[in-house]
Amino acid sequence: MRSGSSSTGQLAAARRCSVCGAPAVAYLPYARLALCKTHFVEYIDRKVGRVLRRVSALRPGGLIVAAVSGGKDSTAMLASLAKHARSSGTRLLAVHIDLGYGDYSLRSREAAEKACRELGVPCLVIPFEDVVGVSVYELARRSRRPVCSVCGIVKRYVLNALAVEAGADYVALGHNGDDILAYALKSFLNQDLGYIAKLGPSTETVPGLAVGRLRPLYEVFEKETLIYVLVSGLPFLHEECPYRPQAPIEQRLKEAMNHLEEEHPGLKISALRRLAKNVKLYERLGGGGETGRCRHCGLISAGEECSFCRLTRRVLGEPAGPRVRTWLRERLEELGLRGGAPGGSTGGLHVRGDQALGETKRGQEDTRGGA
Amino acid sequence: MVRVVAELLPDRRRVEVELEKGTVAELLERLGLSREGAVVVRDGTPLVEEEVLRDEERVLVYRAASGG
Repeated sequence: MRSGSSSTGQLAAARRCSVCGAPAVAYLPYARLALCKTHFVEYIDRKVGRVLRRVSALRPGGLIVAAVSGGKDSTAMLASLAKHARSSGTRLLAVHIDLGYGDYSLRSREAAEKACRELGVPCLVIPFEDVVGVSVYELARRSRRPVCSVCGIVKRYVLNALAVEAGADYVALGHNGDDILAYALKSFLNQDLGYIAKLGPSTETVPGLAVGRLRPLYEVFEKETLIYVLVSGLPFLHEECPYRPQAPIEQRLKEAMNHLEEEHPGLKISALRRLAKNVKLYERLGGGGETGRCRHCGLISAGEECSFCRLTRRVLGEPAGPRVRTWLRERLEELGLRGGAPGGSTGGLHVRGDQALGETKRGQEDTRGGA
Repeated sequence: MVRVVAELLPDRRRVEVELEKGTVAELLERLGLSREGAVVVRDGTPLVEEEVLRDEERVLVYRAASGG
């Protein structure tokens, strides 16, 4: 960085921390707080802790599976969750799904594994193409569906299957407050009220079929997760997925909400807290929906076949759910993590992340083909 | 007048911007970014909106709503 011939010179910090008076790295208008690095991290960790306590996510011997992409949100989520897990005796297993999107996936995986190593959290990498025999892109191409939609089905399925096999209490996701509001607004516009019902800080576990999802960053905004990883010095990948549409509607909704928030500080946090209170109401309005068991893999399904088994059966000729479950079971056994009942297994989880658990070799060729 | 070089992430686009007051808030406004949706970083440290940038300074501008 060039120092230049600045006429302003080295300026005093524009704002001082409301707690200790050190130079501030963030000002949060909705909380009327300026915070230095230390107190900013503490503030976010407290917010995360409140959400975790509200949904009783922490318990000695409990297990949380944390989905990590290598991006800022899941990295911040993992870092904060690791602190709370450690102090409460809750076990934590990070999982990264290698989606096979060429160099982007390589860099994502590197960032995720590095963050796990630095945080001392064991990391299971799931190389999707090696496990299922076909890439996510190929599944999308052959089923004539958008990559994002197929990617969503794959991630939801694999994470849930892993959590069920491990007997985990929760699957923790890196959704931040801005994500939740954008999903809720989009669902409202589509009048998909049943989906809004799933947008609370946690969703419920259906024993044997589905493990509840947990959103530790429910009240943490996108800008805050970014500042959190920056001031914590954590490795993360700040890159767009190559398959991301040019202007997804969620992005526009976030921008609109941010403009409103600038004019009306506190709008977003109030909306989130009210949403969290009303999810049960949306569940009734949305009609709930039947919970079934997939006849192929035995996991949760709206009908008699889950969306992952249906998709893979149509493309590959046979459903891939059972194969995925077997692969995960074997990896968990290697890790000493085959749970069954929550809290049922003990050993293995305190291994360090740098032991690169459950990896298999895979070709790193770009799977985008002629797209 | 303060001239700063902003590297936008994740786009990896570099732009030179001339600012009147030279604040972070002014830079974001000139780049068409919301204060709620972007973070300006100097030497790895996030800056608050009132921070005044130095002439010829290079900063990173992270768009928060990306690369989650």
